[in-house]
Amino acid sequence: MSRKKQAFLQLAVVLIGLLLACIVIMVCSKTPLEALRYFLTGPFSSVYNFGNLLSYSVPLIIEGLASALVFSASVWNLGIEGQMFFGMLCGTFTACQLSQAPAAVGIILSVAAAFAGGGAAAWVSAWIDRKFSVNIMLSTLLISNALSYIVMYFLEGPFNDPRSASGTCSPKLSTRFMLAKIMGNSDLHTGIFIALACVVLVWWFLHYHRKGFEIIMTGQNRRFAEYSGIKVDSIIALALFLSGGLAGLGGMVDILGVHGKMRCMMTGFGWDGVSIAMIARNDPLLVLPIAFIFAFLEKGVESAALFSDVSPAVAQMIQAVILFFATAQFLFRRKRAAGKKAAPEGRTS
Amino acid sequence: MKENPCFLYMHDISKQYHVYGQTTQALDHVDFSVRRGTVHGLLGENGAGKTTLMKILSGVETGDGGEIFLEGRKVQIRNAQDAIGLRIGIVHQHFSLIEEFTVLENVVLGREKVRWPGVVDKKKIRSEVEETMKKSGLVLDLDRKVGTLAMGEKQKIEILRLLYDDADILIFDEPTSVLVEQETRQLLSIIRTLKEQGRTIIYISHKVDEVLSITDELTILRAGHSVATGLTSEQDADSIVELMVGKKVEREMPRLPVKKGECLLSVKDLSVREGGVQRVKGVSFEVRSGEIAGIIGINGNGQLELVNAVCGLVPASGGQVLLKGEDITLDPVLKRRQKGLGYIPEDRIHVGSCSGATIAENMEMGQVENGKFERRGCLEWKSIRGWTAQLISEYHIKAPDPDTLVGALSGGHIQRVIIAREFSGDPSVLLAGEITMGLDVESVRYIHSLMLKMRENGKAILLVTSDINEILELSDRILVMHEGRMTAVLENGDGLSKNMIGEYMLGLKDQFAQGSTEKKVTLA
Repeated sequence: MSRKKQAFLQLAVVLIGLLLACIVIMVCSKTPLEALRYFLTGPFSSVYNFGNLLSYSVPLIIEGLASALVFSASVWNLGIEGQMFFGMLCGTFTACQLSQAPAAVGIILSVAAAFAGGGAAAWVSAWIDRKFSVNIMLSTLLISNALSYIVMYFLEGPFNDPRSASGTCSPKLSTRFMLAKIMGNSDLHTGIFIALACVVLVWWFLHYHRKGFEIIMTGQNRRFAEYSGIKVDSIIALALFLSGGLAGLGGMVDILGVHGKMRCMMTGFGWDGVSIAMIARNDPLLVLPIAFIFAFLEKGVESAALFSDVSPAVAQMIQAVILFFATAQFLFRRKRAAGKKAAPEGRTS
Repeated sequence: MKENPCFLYMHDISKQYHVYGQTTQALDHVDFSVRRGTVHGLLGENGAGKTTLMKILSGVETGDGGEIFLEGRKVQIRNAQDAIGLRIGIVHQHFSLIEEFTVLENVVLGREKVRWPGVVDKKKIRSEVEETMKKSGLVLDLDRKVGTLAMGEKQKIEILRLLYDDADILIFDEPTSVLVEQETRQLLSIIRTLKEQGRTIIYISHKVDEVLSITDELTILRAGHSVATGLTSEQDADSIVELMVGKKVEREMPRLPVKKGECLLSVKDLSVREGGVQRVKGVSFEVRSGEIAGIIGINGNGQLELVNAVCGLVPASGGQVLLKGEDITLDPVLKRRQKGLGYIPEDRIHVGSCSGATIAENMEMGQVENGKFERRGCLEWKSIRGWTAQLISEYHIKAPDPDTLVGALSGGHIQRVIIAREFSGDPSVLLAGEITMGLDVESVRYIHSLMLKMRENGKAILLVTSDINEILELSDRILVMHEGRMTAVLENGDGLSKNMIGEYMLGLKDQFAQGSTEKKVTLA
C-alpha cells in the first residue's frame, strides 16, 4: 500500500511541475493562451507529432533504467552520459565495419558492441575503486567526461564522414540496419519495443533474480550484505557494468531508429536518465511514465516555441524545477525518517 | 530535613513516536513525582518510556502534552538550556565527550567564561572547576586527555560537568551499563555523597538489585504507563520484576550438564590490525561441541575485532582460525558460512539486519548462493514467504506476515529474526555478539533458552558480551580480554566472583603476563 502511495506521490510531484510549466509559459509569452495550447496539445496534434514524442521517449526510458539499476545498489554512477556516448561510438563503428553483413547480424552485433562498450566504461570505475579505492561517483564522472572528448576526437578525425552536410558526424550506417518505422511518417520505430522490454527485464531482474536481489540488498545496507556473505565488490561491478551497458544500448537504439549515424554532439539523454531515475525512485516501472512526461515536456515546449514566442530553454528550466521538487521531497522524507529512526532507540533505556 | 512532598511533579505527560508508519505511544498520561533530597529509581523494561520521560524533563525532547511543576511552580522546559536554567541535568547512557580534549576542556565546553575581548579566561575556569571538585568530592586529573580514561572516569567527567552547571536534580540514565563491578561500586558511593549534599537524584535502570540497593523510592513504568510508585523498602525483587514485565516471569532455564565433545572452533595466536592499530594481540582459545565459551571485556578491548576476524569480515594479520580442524583463515565470509559458521552480530540494526527490507527478504539473505528457493537464478518468493511464515511462528516473532518491514519490529523481535535466520542454516559453530543488549526481559529469557538448547544439541557457541550476569548465567568457560590480549581463562563455577572477573577486565591482573607471579588462579 505504501509503495503505491509513494508512486502516486512521485507522479503528483511531476504533475505539479507540469502545472508550473504552464504558468511559466503563460508568463513568458505575449499570447499566453495560444502558447499554452501549443504546449499542451502540440505533441498530440497529429500522428506525426505523437510518433515523434514516443520516439523521443525511447532513449529517455532506457537511460532512466540505466540509472535506476545502478542507484538501486546505492552506487552513484554519474557517468551515464559519457558511457552512452562511448557505447554509441562502439556500436556505430561495429555497424560500419559490418556494412555487408545481414541486417539481423548487423543490428544485434552493433547493439551488443554498444552495450559492451558502455558497460566496460562504467565497470572500469568499479575496478579502480577496488584497486585504489577511488570514490566511484568521482571516477565515473571524470572518466566519462574524458571519454566524451576521446569519442569526439574519433568523430572529428579517423571516424569522420567528410561528405556530411549537417555538422560533424560518423559515416552513415547501412540503411538495412535501420529499425522499421511504425507510425506513419513519424520517427517512431520498433526500438520502442526494445525500451518496453528493457523496463520489464530490469524490473524482473531486480525483484526476482538472485543477483538483482543482491544488488538491492547491497544498496539498502552494505554492511548487512557483506555480513551475509554477498561479494559486495563484484555486485557493485555488476551493477555498474549493466548500467553502463544499458546507457550504451539506449544511445545505440536511438541511432538505429532515428538518426542513422552518430553525431558529434552530447544529447543530454544520460543526464535526463539520472533525473528520471531519481524522480522514479529507482523503480523501473515508474521510469516509464516519467520518461514519457520528460519527453512530452521537451516536445511540448518545442511546439510552443515553433508556433508562438516561447523560448525552448523553458523545457530545461521546468525539468530542473521538477527534479528540484522531487529530490527536495526525497531529502525531506529522508531527514524525517532519520529522525523517526532515532526515536525507538531513544526510547529504549 | 523538611521535605516538600512535591518537589518535582510531572503531570499527565504524553509522547508519541512515529516509526515506519506505525505510531508508538511511548508515554501515555504519565504522572511522576520526586521528593527533594532523595534517590528516586525509575524502573522499567526497554521501551517502557523511562528515557523518554527523562529526556522530556531534561529538555532533550518535548512532550506532546502535560505539565511540569518544580517546587509547586509550573515550569516550561523547551530545550536543554531551559533545563540547565532550572538546575536539571542528565548523564546520558552514551557519553558526549571529545576524546582529544582534556578533562578540563570537556567539563567547561560550551560554558566557557570569556574575558574581554573574547578570550577564554582559563585561570578563572580552572579555579572554578577545582572548587566544584573540592565541594563534591569528585577527584579527576584535569589535564589528562579524555581518550586515555576508563569508562568510569569518563562518567565522572559528565557528572562534574553537571555539578559545574550547579545542577540540583541529577538524572542518571542506565549509568552502570558501561561499568565493571569496581566502577559500579564507586559510582554508587558518589551518588550517596550527592544525596547527602541535598541534591535530588533520579536513577534510571532495569537492574533490580542495583535499584534496591541505592534508591529511597521508586516508580515503575510499563509500556508508557506508570504502574507503581512507592518506598523502595516496601518492595522486593520478584514483585518489581513482575510489575515491570506485567506478568509472572519464569525462572531462567538451568544450564544442564552437557558432555563436551570434539573441538569445533580453534583460534591460534590470532592478531588483527585495523587502522594501523593492533586491536587483537595473539589470542588463542578453543570452543568444543556442547560448550558455551564467553568472551567478556570492557567495550573496545578487541572483542569485536576478534569476532569479526573469526567470521571473516576483517582479515587476520596473523594466526589461524580452524573450523572443525579445517583452516579457514583465508576464506571469505560466504565460504565460512557454508562450512558451518553462524554469526549473530553485535550491531543488530546496521549489520545483522536490513531495516528497510521485509522479514522474508532478511531471511532469504541467509540463503545466499546455496540454491535453496531459486531455480536458475530466479528467486521463488512464494516458497520464501511460506518458509518465513513458518520461522515467524516457530520463533514467536510478533509480525503480521512475512512482508512486514524489519524496521517496524521491536529490538527483541529483530533479534529473533536474526537468530531464526542464523539457526535455519544449522551452523555447528555460532558466534553470538551482545545477543541481549537492550532487550526486554521476556526476549532475554527466550534468547538465553535458545542458546542453551543449541548447546545441548552439541553446538559450539562463542558468546561475546559486556554483561557480566549474562556470561555467568550462560557460559561454561569465561575468557577475559583487556587491550587486545586474553588476560584470563576461567571455568565458570562457584569460586568465581564478579569482582575477580572485573580485575582481569581492568587489566589489574593477568594470567598470561610474562613473568606473572600468579600463573594460574586456583578456583574452588
